[in-house]
Amino acid sequence: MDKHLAADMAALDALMAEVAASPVEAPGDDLMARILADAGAAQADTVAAPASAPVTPAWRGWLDALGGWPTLGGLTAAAVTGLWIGVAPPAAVDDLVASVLGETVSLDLAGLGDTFELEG
Amino acid sequence: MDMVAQQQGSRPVDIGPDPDGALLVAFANGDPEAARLLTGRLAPKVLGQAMRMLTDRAEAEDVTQEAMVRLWRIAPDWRQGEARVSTWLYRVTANLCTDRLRRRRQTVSLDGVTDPADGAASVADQMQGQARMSALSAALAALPDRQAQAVALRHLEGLANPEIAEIMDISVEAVESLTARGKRALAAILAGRKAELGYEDE
Repeated sequence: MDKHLAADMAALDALMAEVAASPVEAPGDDLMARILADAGAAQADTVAAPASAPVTPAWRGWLDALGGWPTLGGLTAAAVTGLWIGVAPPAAVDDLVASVLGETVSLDLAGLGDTFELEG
Repeated sequence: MDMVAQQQGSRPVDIGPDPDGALLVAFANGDPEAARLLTGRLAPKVLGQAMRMLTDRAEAEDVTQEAMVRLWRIAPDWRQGEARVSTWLYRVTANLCTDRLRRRRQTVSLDGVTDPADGAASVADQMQGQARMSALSAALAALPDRQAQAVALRHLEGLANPEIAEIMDISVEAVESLTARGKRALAAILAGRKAELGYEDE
């Protein structure tokens, strides 16, 4: 190592020793507060995560309320049947509709008669 | 990132008791006190390391916050006993600091970093001390990242080569090589500035 380099190295060592020995002021309240705010946010994320781990879409909620997937099968069959009856009613349905709606049906509920005198 | 991979792929070494690791696990489990305790134990160390490398309080504080954010995020995946929290933080902080130094290198010329202001004689010494530290930081910025990290860990943090090897995930020989090359480069950079920095030219 030549003389110049040795001197440069010595100067560098002195400089690094000076920096290493310089006291660093402790973190202020502001920095500590920022760090703790980050910690709170991260902790809320990680602690909350397992509770809602399998993310359940809203529709699963009411499907479960109805009775789950088996119910959905029944519901679908009923819906398709209803659609089919509406679009292409079989003769039996026509007869049924005629027999139920095709004639005037009067009902006297609990024998109230024309309680409200709607017929003037 | 590679830090997680490294932590998970580490060798079965007995790292001894690591209270910070235990606190980090408690933090991940929702312990409200753990964050305060960890911050009190670790933030001053991170800030010190960042200040010595950057010589800029605002930047060092930002690095400290960022390093701690990364610690909070890794907490759920932390495997106690595989690495020490302090080792992991040295690495994260060193990386964040060289990121900052690299940005300085791209935006500021080396000569523009330290201009000892014309002040009263009474503050001249203080200014020169500050200028010297800034000059070291500026010179570190001129080094390749790994050299800057190795030199800083060895000579500013005072760590032993095996510990630096673990922090940087390289061999002890590689640490020695990086440190030697880094020091030579630093000495060359600073040699031209001795008078300005208050060192006698011999």
